[in-house]
Amino acid sequence: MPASAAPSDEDLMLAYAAGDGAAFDTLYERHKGGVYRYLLRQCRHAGVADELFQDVWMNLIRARTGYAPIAKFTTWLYRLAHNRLIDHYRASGVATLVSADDDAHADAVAAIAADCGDEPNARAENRELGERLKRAVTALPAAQREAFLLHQEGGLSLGEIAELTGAGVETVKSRLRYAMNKLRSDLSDLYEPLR
Amino acid sequence: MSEIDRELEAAWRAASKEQPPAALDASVRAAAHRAVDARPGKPKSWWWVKTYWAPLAAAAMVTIIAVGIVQLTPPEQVTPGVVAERAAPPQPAEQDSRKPSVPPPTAAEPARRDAASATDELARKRDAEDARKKLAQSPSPTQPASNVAAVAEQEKKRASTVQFAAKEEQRPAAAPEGAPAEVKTQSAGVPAPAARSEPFPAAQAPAERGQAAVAAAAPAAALRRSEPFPAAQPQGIAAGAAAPTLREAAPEATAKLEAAGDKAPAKPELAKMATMDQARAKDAAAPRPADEWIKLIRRLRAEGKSEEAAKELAAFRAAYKERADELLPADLRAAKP
Repeated sequence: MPASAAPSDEDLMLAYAAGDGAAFDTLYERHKGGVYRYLLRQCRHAGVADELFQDVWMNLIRARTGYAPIAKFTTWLYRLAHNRLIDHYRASGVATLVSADDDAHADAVAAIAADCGDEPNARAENRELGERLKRAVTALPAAQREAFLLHQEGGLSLGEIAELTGAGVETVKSRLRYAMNKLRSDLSDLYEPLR
Repeated sequence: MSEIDRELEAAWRAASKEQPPAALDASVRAAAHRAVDARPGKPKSWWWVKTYWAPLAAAAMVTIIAVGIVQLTPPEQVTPGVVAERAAPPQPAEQDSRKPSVPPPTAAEPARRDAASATDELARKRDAEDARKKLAQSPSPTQPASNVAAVAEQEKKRASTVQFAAKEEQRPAAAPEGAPAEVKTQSAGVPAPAARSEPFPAAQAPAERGQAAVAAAAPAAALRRSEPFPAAQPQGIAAGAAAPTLREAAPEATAKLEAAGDKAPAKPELAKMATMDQARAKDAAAPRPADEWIKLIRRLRAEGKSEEAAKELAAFRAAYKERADELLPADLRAAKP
């Protein structure tokens, strides 16, 4: 099936706003995994992620009549998820999205990463790249992690991430670079031959 | 991005494959579909759009049919119960105990009433003739001249009543309900209410209607039930000792008329018969009082018509027999026919 034949996300969302339930099913099928993983990696708890995931889609359903395709649908969807996550952080008072440039949190981030990597049993049992990668991502500073997840899970560009997070494009670019460097550093033993 | 980044991205895509739970999926999808189905702006089903007018059309049709039936139905059949209820006069207990129970009027009552009134007219006229004959044949020797004059006056009044009734019968059926009631009321000696012009008798004012019913129906109906000749009742009372009741005076005529009433002939035939009877009654019923008769005889004699005067004198004597000499003045008493 050619890609051009598939309806765009924006068309599907407009169709759903007009009353087409099937359009929502298609849209949901396309983006449910990315949104769920974005939330799961950010909050680090499956139960909370489920709750936030449901809230995000409920907000989308409620806001369908006001939807206007002035931006990419994915940007709008992840903005909803981002805002819901911030509300969750504010309500729980546990953490905030901070930049990796913030030196005050640098030690905490390093501690999480070291904790993951220093565990002998985990290192012994989870040789698999994916597992280490997940831990490494979880260990990233929140802002870098968010930029990385939005880029990887949502497929958003630097500009779209910048628009969504309210940061500058250069800031987003820097966050991404820091995130990659950190991950590369954590997985250096696996990728040493490629260097 | 470097080669390492591509490897990293590929590794990430391979590792990160978590999906929301199936229950959560179902919940979200259901909520989305519910929201769409319950949307206020959702177009309604085509079936409803096509059939929404059906109840309205049915209600309109029922209303039209009902109004049409009411308009086309004769007034008596619109509210027969009400008409019957209102027409029934409040009868005293004495009358009720005396008379057999009469069924309430039905829808065929007007036609029967017309026939009955015409029969009554006919009976009244025949009865009057018979009574007059009897009276002429057997004048009481003790009856004073004034009594005879009163009888003649009563006859005159009754003739005028009969004439009025015949006119009413001949009148085209402009007010088919009003005419018989009027005739009955007049024959009962009670002033008749104005003829009803409204198409629905049931719509008449209750007070007026009640009075009319009491005035017309009570005596008239009572007399009609006990006596087939309601008009003969005042006559009989006036005649007093000479003829206590007309039934006694003319039993054959009564029987005939009762039979005629049972047959209930058609209205035009009855009207024709009534007209003929009226003409006959006019001829025969002109009772000549003794004073007038005497004046006539004298006038004839003064005009030189001695033969006619003699005839009239003979007729006078034949009519009054023994009392003729008492009534005649001395000059005519001596004259022998």
